Amino acid sequence: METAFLFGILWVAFAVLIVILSDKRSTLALLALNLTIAAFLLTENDLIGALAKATLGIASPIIILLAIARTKQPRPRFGMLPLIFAALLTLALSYIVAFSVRSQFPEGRTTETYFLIALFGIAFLTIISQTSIVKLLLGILILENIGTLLLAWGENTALLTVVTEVFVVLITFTIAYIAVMDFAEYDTIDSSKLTQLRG
Amino acid sequence: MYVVYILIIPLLAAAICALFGRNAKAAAYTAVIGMTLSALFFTVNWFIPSSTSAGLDSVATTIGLSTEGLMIAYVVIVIGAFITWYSLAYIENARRIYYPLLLIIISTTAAAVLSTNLATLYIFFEIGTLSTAILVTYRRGRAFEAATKFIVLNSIGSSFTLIALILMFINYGTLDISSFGSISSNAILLISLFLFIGLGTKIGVVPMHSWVPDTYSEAPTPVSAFLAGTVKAATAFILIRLLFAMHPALDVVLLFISVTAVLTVGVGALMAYTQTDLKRFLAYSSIEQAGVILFAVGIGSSAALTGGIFHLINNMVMKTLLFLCVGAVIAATRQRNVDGLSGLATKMPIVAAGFLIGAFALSGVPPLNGFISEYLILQAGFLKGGYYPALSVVLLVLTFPMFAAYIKLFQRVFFTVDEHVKTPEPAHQSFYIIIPIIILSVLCVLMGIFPTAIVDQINKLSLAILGV
Repeated sequence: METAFLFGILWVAFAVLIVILSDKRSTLALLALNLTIAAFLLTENDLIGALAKATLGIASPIIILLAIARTKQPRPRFGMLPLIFAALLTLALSYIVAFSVRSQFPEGRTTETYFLIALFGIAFLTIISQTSIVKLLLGILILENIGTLLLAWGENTALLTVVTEVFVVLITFTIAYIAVMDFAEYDTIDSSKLTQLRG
Repeated sequence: MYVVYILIIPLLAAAICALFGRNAKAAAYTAVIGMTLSALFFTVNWFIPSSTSAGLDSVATTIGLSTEGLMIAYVVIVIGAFITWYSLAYIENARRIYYPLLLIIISTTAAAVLSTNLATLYIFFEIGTLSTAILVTYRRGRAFEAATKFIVLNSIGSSFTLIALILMFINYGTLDISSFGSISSNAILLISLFLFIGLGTKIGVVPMHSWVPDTYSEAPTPVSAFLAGTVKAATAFILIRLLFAMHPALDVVLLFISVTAVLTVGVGALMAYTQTDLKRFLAYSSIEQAGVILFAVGIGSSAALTGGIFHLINNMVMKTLLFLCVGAVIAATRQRNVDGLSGLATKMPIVAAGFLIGAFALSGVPPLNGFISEYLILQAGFLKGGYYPALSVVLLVLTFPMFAAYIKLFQRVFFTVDEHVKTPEPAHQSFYIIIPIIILSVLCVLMGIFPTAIVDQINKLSLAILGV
């Protein structure tokens, strides 16, 4: 219970940092999020899952950092203060939703479920509040992490965790590759500008 | 034995294509031979079931493939073969990624349809999505932006699907769909919503449809044809299987799907009417068709599922036919804007006839195949009672703008001779472009006039899906 609470606080904190920080720093926040998830899997006795998350979880941020090095961060849609406010509001709403459906939570997973719902809210906020393709990718990766955390609730899920993580890296690589190509073509990775450029 | 036609031959051909590297012609012929062999063997095995396939069937069972839905996989492979023939003439000097990725998409789509194991389903799905994203970038330039939209939105959809599949696994305690027991209705509600959002994004349901017009208009035409006709329909079939594997499907979820479906038909039809780009027009038309299929899912009765599955098979044939006709026009005239085309019926009569048959079939004009399936769906809607008769009427009314749009487009591009429009003289049409158009046109007519045998098979399938 206490372990889950501690990890939950860390997950949510790193997810909020992904929303408010610049592309490069938020990628480092993703790295931290992935490593804490790996540590959590270890506490759940999922050694293979933890190893997969620790090794493949490093690959995604590295790929994103390489993509960032070859592109330019677009001007964010919102400043830091509105994003902090939006993040706090999202967290509050997430907890209200979670509290109202708490009777449906799986037995023995109440704490984690609260944090997973909060993570879901933050992932959604990341996707809708950002224009940088990198940030959209980070939002998707938060969603994928929810999948990994849910896997920890099942039994004999090590292989599934590995499969999921492999695809997370492949998705990251594909989006990062397309973002770099987009930048080479249009000199921007701002998704709204790209749409305007196309007409 | 079917694992050979669905996975082994196409993937072997893909590997050989990749080995040919810069020899585009050799790669193209390998792909054509591979897919033709797959389709031919599959056809022979379909009509003359083999008794010497136990070893290979056990391979299929091990990787979580079942024979339920074999009919859909068969159509996927046959349409895939047509797409590779068409590509042979349409894609000149294909880059080395084209054929391997195309064959991977065809193969994984067919395999995903047959997957009863949640893990293998996810794997086939993701391989297909990633390969498609790369193939969408094929023409480079503007295609990168379309690919960005495709991969970002589809990855969000994949994340929702992944969460739904994991929730299924945790709740049912098994990866095998056919072994699902019973779980609480709240869990079914949550999983159903995640599934619908995840797979709905891949199908192009409103409001998650914005990637569809850009992707279909920027991808090479054979790829657009396969995505719009086959991948979309196969995904709808997977949604049907997963949704109804959870018993009982919840009324509130079904009503939500129905309302979203009607909205999707409306947005698709109205947006299509305003398009002047041929491929964007077909993209919006495919959004409209996705709505029709999902409406059948939303009704949820066995009669509706029979109509829905028949319509998704029809969609594979009709939509592929229309994309191939439009591709033939673009290949012959180097023009895809309606305003720059006129009077092509006399210069390209087979393409014009194919387009007319496809458009009438999609609009539900009797006696073509689209009429039968749409009739079955609407009949099931009226019989269901509650809100459904009203929704069926709204759906029917919303399909009229689509029919009008097809008539307007056909008249403009093929019939009207406008002195002010200088349509380029069409180039010679290759055998590989014309033959698939003729076969698919004939299928639209035959499946409309003689639907009984197919509908009987589909009826058995829908009863099996519903566990009746």
